[in-house]
Amino acid sequence: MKRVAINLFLIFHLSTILCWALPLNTQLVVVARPLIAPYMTWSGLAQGWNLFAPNPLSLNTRVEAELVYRNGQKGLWKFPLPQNYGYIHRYYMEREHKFSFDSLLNDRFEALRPDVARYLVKLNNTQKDNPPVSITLVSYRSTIAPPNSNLPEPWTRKEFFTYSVQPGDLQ
Amino acid sequence: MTLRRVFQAWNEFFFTPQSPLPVCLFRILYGSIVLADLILLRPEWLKWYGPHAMMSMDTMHKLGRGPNMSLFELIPQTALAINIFFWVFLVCAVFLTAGFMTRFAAVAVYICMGSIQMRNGYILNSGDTLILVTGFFLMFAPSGAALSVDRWLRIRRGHGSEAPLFSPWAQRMIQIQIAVVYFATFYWKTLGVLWINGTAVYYALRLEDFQRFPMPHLHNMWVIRSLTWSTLLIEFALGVLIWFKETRYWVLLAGICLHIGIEYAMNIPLFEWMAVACYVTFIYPEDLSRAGRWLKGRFAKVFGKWTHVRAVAQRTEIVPTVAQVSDEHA
Repeated sequence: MKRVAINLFLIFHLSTILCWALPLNTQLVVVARPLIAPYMTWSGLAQGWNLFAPNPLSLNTRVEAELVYRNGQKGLWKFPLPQNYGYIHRYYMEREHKFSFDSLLNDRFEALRPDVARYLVKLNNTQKDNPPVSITLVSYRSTIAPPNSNLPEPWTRKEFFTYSVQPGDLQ
Repeated sequence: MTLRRVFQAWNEFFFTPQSPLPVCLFRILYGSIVLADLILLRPEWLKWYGPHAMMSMDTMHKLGRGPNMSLFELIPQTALAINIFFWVFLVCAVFLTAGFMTRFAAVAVYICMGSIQMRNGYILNSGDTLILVTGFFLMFAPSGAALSVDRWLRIRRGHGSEAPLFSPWAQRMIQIQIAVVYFATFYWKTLGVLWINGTAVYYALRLEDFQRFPMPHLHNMWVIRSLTWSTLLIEFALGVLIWFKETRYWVLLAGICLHIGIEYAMNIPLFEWMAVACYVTFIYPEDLSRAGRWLKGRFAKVFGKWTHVRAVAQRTEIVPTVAQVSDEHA
């Protein structure tokens, strides 16, 4: 009985992992994926192995926050750049980079932006009687030129989210 | 091949009893990596998971893909409770590494790891995913049967000194999971133009947020193409050729070289360590035992020399004392 249960467990997990992780689009896989999705999400077995695939990004990105204070003064807050830190320090700052350069800029996760804006407003509320009143998240992008092309790699600026600070945000 | 042969092969692969040594060694490496992960997370623990974290619980629910097993749904959203959660998680990881209450520790580490990953999935890299998916099968493995405090306690209680044999089905699932990782990433890459034309590594190494130590010869096309295509080749080998006895160790060696290269050039914390730790599950138990005996022999030699030196030193201390006593008597 125990052996039967283990075999069922193995068959189920082999099928779900193969179905989920391999980029196959057969009819069976397309039908099965939404059916197994709740289990994969609940159990933490959801997985994707397409890092740098099908092609690595050819884009460098930076994110900054521009703040406006009550007295009209402007402030700038930059998400940390790995190249500004030592080799060891940048190892544990990787999550910060992942969050700002990857998730925050992804339109699929735009629900993150108000939270980040509120967090940064609180972080930058350091002047007495002069709190931030608005914050704008700005991205800078530069396309990596092909190897040995000697083409310039200019940075383009884009405001992708603006937030007006609400009375409760600073508490 | 008849159906009967398929069943027989399945049973042999998953259920022929073998030494639990590989999965026990994997447990130690896995636990150490989880501890390293927690140490790296500690300075910004509340920033990512705290009550006033960068991503609120409400947003997590909004972006979530349905029910999950996260303990953050149950624990109070206060800094104190979330800090206690950190220390409990850390203690469980120490227990798992040491092999104390191993099964409980493996389950606890999996649930805690799943909880933080589900609380904030927007800071994760492939290393985190690998930790979670292999941790799932580690829960079912007899990972405390050797190299553990549990085993030491069993021997002390007189429950036999020989490590029993176990069906390796959980270890096999970890192996399959690793092979799937490599085969999937290989397959994804073959769909990309840059991997096929040999320039993918150039672009990957130019991404600022991944850069680590300086990489020379980045504009030498011969170097770039060699690195790109050898990456594809090694990933394919780790997905497919790893299953053949004749090629397994060569493939693992190539995999280690690949991950050392990535660890040098790119900043993807713990992924390389985790991937290499998983290779332990592919080592045949008899080879691992042989390596253990060799290491023990080397240690015994060095340790023996050291104890000999200590004993001589102690004797030279004792002799004058005895002589002194004799003098006093005289």
